[in-house]
Amino acid sequence: MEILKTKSLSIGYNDKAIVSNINVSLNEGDIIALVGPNGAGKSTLFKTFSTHIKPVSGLIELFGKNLNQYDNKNRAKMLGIVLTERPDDIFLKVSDVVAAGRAPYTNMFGKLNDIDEHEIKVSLELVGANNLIDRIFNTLSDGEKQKVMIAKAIAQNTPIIMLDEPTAFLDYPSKIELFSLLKKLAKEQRKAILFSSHDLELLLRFTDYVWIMAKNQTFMAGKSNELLKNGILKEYFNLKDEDNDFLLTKNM
Amino acid sequence: MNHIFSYLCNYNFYNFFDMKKWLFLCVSTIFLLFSCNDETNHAENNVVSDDENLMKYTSYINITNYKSGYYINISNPWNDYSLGDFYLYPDSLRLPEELENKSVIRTPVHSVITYSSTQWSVFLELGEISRVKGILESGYTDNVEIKRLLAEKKIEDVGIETNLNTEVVIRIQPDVILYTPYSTVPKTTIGELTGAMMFPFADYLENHPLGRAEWLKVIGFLTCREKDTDAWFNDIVTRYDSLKSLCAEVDFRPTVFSDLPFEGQWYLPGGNSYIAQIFHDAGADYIWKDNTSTASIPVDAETVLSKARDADFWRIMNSTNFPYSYERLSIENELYTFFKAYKNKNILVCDIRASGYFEKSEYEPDLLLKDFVFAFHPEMVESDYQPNYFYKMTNEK
Amino acid sequence: MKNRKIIIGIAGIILFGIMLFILNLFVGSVTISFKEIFKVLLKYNTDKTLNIIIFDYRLPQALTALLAGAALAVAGLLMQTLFRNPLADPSMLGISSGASLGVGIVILLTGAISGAAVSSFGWWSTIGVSLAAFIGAIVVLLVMLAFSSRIKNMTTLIIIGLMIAYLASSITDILKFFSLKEDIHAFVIWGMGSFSGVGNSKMPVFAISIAIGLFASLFLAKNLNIMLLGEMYAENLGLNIKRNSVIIILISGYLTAIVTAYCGPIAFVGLAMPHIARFLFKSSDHRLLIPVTMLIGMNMALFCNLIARLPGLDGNLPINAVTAFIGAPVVISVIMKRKK
Repeated sequence: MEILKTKSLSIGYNDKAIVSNINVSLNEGDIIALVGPNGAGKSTLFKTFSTHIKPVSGLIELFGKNLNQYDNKNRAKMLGIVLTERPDDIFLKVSDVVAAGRAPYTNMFGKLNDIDEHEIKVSLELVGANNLIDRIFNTLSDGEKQKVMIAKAIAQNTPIIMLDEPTAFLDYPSKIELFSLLKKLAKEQRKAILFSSHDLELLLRFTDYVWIMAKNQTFMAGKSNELLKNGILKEYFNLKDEDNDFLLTKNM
Repeated sequence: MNHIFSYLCNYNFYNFFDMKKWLFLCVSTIFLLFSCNDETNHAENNVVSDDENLMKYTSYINITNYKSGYYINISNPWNDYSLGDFYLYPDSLRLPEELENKSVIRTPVHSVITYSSTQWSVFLELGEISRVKGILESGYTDNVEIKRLLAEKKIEDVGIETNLNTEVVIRIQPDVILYTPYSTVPKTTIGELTGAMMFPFADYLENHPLGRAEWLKVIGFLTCREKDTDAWFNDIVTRYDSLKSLCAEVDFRPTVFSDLPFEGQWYLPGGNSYIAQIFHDAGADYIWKDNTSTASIPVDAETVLSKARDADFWRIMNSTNFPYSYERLSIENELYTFFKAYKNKNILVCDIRASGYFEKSEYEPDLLLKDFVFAFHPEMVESDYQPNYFYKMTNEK
Repeated sequence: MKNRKIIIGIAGIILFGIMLFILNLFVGSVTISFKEIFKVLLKYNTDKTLNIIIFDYRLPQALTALLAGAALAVAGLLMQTLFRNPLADPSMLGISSGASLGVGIVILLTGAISGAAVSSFGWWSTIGVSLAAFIGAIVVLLVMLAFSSRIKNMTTLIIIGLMIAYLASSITDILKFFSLKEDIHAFVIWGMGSFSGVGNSKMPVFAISIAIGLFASLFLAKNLNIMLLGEMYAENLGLNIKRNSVIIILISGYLTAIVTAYCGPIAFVGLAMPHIARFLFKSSDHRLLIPVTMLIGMNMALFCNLIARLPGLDGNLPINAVTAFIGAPVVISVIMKRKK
């Protein structure tokens, strides 16, 4: 089922487009990587999807309805984000962070009912962090913090989760663990997962599609292995032949 | 001038009581007629070399005769150094050699800058206001005459105490600047810039009402009008002392306290302050009379309530343009309504601006005293007396 | 079990507060015995001066301290969370500077002293200072609200608030420079803060005004919690950042304006008390923090009022001096702890 669709979307700041005419869709169960060099516009795309900034032109539709027609609360139930930015309050507990994900569902005092408590518990279980629930967030390791932030997005119960560089700062095993988790979220929980990453080799293994944003303002989307085969990835990332071949073999 | 006039009118009456003073007046009048004379050098032969202090009630200023002029020494309560030493010598005479290197003010002065309104009021009263070329804080006076002179640019505003307009002062080129000396504020260098003589007018330091008033004579000395200011002052003394002696023997001395608090803190006059003396001389007991301070003492509201609640009278100062009323007081702070003086409507208020309190009262201590005697012991004063400064507040609203 | 600790903690603070309140009735320049005080509370007799001291002087002062302490502490908490800055306090919006400017204009410009008179306004002069302070505060508040509805970035807002504060205090300095010493003295005294400016007759208005603000602040808890995560996350969770910051600034500014109008600028309560609340309960949950900060603010103000009026001084100490002595060490220890 199609969740998000863009129609001739142009993104940028102050009416100046940095990437134009984007036509893509996010379906449930998709796990999609957004790649490209720094400054190509990946964050801009995220900010446009999360309505932090407005599109320069074009449309974004969520379940067939224009994104800007969703009020704040309903939009919050649609899209969850995980950024590299982290809260740093020294008294914030893990349970507080994950509970925040329930904000669109709780009353004006933020009271957690049984459903909310259940969702929090389940979210932490999914990311494999239920042993951390009573810990102070600040005392966790980077990997643990990342899991908790994802748990929060899960608790937010949104059909789409967007993650900005989720594997940055993680060691190799943790990266694998994280990508597996994301794939599980997509396939088992039927969410649409969109994330940006520089870990080319790994992401190709775990993703269905890749969206490429290159510095020359082009945008291209396609299935991961096709992009590899037809040499587009090689071209966009100036891969040496042997690297491209290596990736091909790994992803067969 | 009306002081001189009233002196003459009351001449016969007071003659009976003040032989000594009158005698002294005659002597000094004759002497003065000589000293401010034109042309003659023979004034120098009339050297009166007594060290008698011509100021009788002051603590901080000594004036003695010196040849044909005067020697003035001004001291202070903070240290042993003199605030100023001056020789006054008539313009018309040759300056004695030994005074060549001393601080000399030639009299009469031609161009004066006064720091406070009390000073220019004396000039005004003597008819010598033309000698005043610059004043401070001109916005605070309502005096019609001064305002006219300011408008005609015959007098200029030279700024405020902490921020003198140096350029205007230089332009005025004063002979003498009558300034207010403080222990903590360094003396302004304006004297050096303009060549003017900086004369510390320390009247405010005097705590005795007559001592403070006697400073008006200083202006007399500066303008060669000593005769008139002596007469003026003696007049004051006579009236003051007679009232005081009347009150000294009263059976019942009502109690009195003073002032309104600011932000919960009262600043009360010390027991040895100017106003405390007035209270005493007017036959009343100031609640804090046993305090020894000559300035203000900070006291909190609780203490004031407990000590002064049953005081018979309450003196307050009104610095606004509207008269105070009992209702206004109660709105300002409902604690006021608990005082006996409030309940019995025995509040004595002074409308500062309307009455010219800060300008004139210093030189009318007898009138100030009389206002209070009229309140404390009305039988001592004529029944149709109109108070000049402090009157009993009657307005409800 | 966690909840039990919290309840005990809160009960303890309330108890301590009650004790401080009672002490405030006992302690003062004039010594009054236990018996006397209870007699007063039972039957109020205006013939006895001691009754008046307790009922008309100490009681309203203690109430004022209580309310002002709660208001400023909460205002500070709101500022600290909004700007995600542990050193934020109510004065950051420039509101106290605006109030000072208003008062400066009244006291310094019109050249009238003693009793805070606005010469040309007749009997309004009696409330002239409070009114001027309030107007000055509200003007600055309105300016800040206008900015905050246009600007999303909190750092930008902080800078604007600070600059407005500097601007207001510079203008006040210019006024001081051209003023008489008595006026400057009066103005300085106002700036030291005082809880004695609200008598029993003005108390209802004061109390209700503060109560409204405090009550409104309770409803901010959820949004404040979300804001702790960061602006982007808060927005993603459905928070309207601009509207939220406008409301927070409005409530915080309103509370600050009221207190400053009646008591003068009081420092350190808004800055230090939220930290004490956080450290005592080891929590960032504003549903707990807001009411607790109110209570702690009350206690602090009552304590400072007590110290300021200790017998042995025939005059009182200015409030700001006492709050600084207590507040500054608190802030220092907070910073040290955070570094760890």
